[in-house]
Amino acid sequence: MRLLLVEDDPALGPGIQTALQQAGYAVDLSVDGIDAEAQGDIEPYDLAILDLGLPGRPGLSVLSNWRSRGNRLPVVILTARGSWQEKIEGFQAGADDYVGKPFQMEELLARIGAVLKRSQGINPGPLAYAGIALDEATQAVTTASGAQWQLTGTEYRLLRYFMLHPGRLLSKTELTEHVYDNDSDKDSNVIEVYVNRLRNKLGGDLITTRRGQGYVFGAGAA
Amino acid sequence: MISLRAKLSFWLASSLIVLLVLQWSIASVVIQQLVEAQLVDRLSQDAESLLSGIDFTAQQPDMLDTARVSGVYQRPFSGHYYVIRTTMQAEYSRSLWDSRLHVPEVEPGDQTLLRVRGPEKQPLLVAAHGYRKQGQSVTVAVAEDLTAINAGVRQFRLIHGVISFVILLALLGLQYYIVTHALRPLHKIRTDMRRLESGEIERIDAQRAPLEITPLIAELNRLLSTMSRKTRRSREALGNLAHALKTQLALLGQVAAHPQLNASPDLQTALRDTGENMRRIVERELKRARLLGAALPGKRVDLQHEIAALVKTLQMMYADKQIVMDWQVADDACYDGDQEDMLELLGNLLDNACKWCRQEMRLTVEGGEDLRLMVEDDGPGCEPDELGELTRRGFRLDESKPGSGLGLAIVKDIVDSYGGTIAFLSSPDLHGLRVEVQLPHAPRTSRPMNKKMAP
Repeated sequence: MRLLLVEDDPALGPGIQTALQQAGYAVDLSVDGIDAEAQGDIEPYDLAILDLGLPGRPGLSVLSNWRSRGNRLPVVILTARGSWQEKIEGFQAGADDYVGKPFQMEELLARIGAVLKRSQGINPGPLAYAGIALDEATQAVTTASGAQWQLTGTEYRLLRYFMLHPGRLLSKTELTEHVYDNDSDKDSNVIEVYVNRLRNKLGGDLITTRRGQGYVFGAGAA
Repeated sequence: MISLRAKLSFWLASSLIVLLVLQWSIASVVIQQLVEAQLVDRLSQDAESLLSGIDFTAQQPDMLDTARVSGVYQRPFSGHYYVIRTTMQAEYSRSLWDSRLHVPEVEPGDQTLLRVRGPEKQPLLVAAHGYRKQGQSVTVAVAEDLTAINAGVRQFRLIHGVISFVILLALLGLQYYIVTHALRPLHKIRTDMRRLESGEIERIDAQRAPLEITPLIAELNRLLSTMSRKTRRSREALGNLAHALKTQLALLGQVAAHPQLNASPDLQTALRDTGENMRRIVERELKRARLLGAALPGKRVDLQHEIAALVKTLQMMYADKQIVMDWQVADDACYDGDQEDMLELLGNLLDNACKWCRQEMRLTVEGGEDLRLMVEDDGPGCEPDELGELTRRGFRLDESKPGSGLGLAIVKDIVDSYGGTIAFLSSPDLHGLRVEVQLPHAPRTSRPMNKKMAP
């Protein structure tokens, strides 16, 4: 899952970025409204965390500009502006959730997780598919047979992306884009390695390879 | 309280009545005097012509040659009489018949006017002149009946009075119109004031106001805009302060969560608790300071519209919970306080209901004398002995759900600042908590006046 974090505070921004990365997200940090708007339009992010008081362009304008161009990128507003008036304006501009500062990191992560699931039309709650359950807090997976595996960061991100898009054909490029942030060294061949590691843990038939096209997770794989 | 209108009308009408009565009386007196002066003039002429008919040398029993006397003095009780007196004898006109007029002797060259009762009790005006003819003093008194003249004067007075009265009525009507018309701008301003209070307009239009009150309106508008500018500025400043503080607090929270501090959990907890306390203080106190209360004339809040937006927002916020939100706003429900206060009040109440409900939440807004808001949910509700604790600052009856415990305390602050009441009950329909808020309308300085008073 690749997130765009838009936060201009020089200390808070990197702090949240680190915390989100630890939680298994690929995170790009933007500190400027205009840049953030452009990035949100160009890069295939899965979600944006948007501060409202931004230099360059206010967060609300960034959001309504995205929406007016048909960019459906899920957005969680993260702001210290906590009045109901501002909340209503935020949702009216097209936000998917609203978290007030100061916040507990756990709460922000829970909200991000919920919005991601909602945006994929998946029921809220623990991420589960065909007997496989992914614990987002511990980044561990439980298979249908009951075996539990601790996942590495990349494995976790990859599996979560698969589980959020079951039955869909996912190209290596798409997977790379959503699993790594801008600063990472992107090599789509690495994806193959991680897919194989997941197959070893979950069983070989859960992720099928479509030669020259990509991978399909779960149903529709046949 | 004095009414300009009543005062103006009273004094204008009084002066008008006094003026007309005065002119009527003067005209009456003047006309009476004029008529009498003419009469006296004529009587004097008659006396002169009578005098020329007197001959003392003729040795007749009568001094006057009656052939030379006008016919009106011959006809009995004609209303025209004369008496000619010398020291020895008196001669009366034939018209007097056998009644007599008592006339004093008048020195030659003098003239006396008398008012006496005539033969048929009619009022007579007698002009007695003293002459000297052929060495003898003679008094010639000529009298005329005043009845006809008096009747004429009376008729004049009556007609004059009726005309004056009609003029008075017409002038009173005109004056009523003028006063009403001249005070119409004031009435418009009063209406504007009411509309200002109820938030229909933002400033009073000074365009069509009379010169005398334009400065007043300008001053009022200036005060209004200064006040709202100041309020807006201080709100913005408070918002910025809250924003800055909360961002720093978020940072503090991150510092507390730093892995290097994992070794000393006490320090971590202390940092986190301090941060949390500061957050509560900032939230509560700054929200409270931002409250406007009923101090300023507010803009009318479209409750339907605001509540619809709020419910939509809450549905997004609680999208995972699939809450049935049922809301109803009575047509006569209106609120003329500050919009942000109302959103804060309803937002916190509904948020609380959404947080605790199982799947249903209901909002009812009723109008009438006061504005009544009722929020119910189908959640676990609250024990009766805990109901009073609900609005205590930072008090959370259940620590298991996220929240600052400030929502209801802020609601209480808002309700207090509007002089309203809040009650926590249990919902008979949904079996959860039922919060009832009652907000009085802003006290009106100028209640709509009696219809009859308004022009």
